[in-house]
Amino acid sequence: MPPIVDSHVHLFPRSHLPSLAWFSADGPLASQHSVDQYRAAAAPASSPVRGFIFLETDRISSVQESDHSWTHVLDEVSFLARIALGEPIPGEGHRHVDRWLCLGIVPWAPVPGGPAVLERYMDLVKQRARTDAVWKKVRGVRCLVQDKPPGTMLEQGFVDGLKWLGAKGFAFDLGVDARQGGLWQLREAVEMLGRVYEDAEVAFVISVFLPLFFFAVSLTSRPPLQTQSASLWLCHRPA
Amino acid sequence: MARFPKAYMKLSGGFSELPPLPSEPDIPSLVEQLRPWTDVIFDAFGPERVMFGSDWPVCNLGGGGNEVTWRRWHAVVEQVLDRRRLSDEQKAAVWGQTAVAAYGIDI
Repeated sequence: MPPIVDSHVHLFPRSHLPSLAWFSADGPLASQHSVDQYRAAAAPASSPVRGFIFLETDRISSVQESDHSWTHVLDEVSFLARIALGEPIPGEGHRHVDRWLCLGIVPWAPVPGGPAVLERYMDLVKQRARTDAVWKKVRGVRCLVQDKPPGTMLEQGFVDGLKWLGAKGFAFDLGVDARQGGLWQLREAVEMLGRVYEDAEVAFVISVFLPLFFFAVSLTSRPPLQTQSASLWLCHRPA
Repeated sequence: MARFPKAYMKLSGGFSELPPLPSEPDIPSLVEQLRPWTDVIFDAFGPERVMFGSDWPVCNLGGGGNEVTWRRWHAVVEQVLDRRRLSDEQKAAVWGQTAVAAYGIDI
């Protein structure tokens, strides 16, 4: 059986809960989610999980570095460095031997800030990674835009930021929300990709959040029009 | 989007998008429900540009608890790949090699 790389895993210790932008005390994820718990969930698969790519977990942050607005996202990097180095703080739910599970780290990054801001930020990420070995595991960044105003991913700073990431060898995790009439996000994403690829090469890893209502429809019905439209945007190839 | 050669698609944690599942969901029926989407994704990107992901722990929101939901998604993806009649090499891509290529990681 081929080795499994789980390409999308979130982790956060109890002490970091208040730093999560989506945290609410009575929410279903309002507790520590650790490597120990992940291992319990992911075993046994019919073939073993070789490891995971960690994805940033939407911490409270802002694009410009002011008033410690990068503290939480950088603390997240430090947490992942502890996992990857096998140096746990007691109670954070990972062991020295788990360090090999962390194959890649995709932290948050202030992409809308453009190259200068990104360069400053990624220097700080490198410091928090502590060692070259952990820094080498930082393979991409994510910056959620699906709850931002239309046009966010088409702003020049954002596009220039993506090109800078590509030049430095970082991938970009793109979340696109195709729900609730939100096909404009797919259209914008396609346009944004076109602009970036005009003169740059960036690996994009795309997650599409699918129309919830689609799954409530009977199996025998045709896919709703929105689904068909979304399909066209995913499939579109040049003539 | 598929026309961009370095654009990859993540097949991750579909259940967080579903209404809460009953305690013993029928995997084949889930696979069938997802088929219009998985067909689009595999037809457009090809298995060498699709990668498995769990979105753990968000996948737990679909119901069933931590002991169940990751494995359930794994089982669904396994059947999706079987139904598409992927070769062993193509399956290996989805399970791990696509992520290796996209992110440039060492395993």
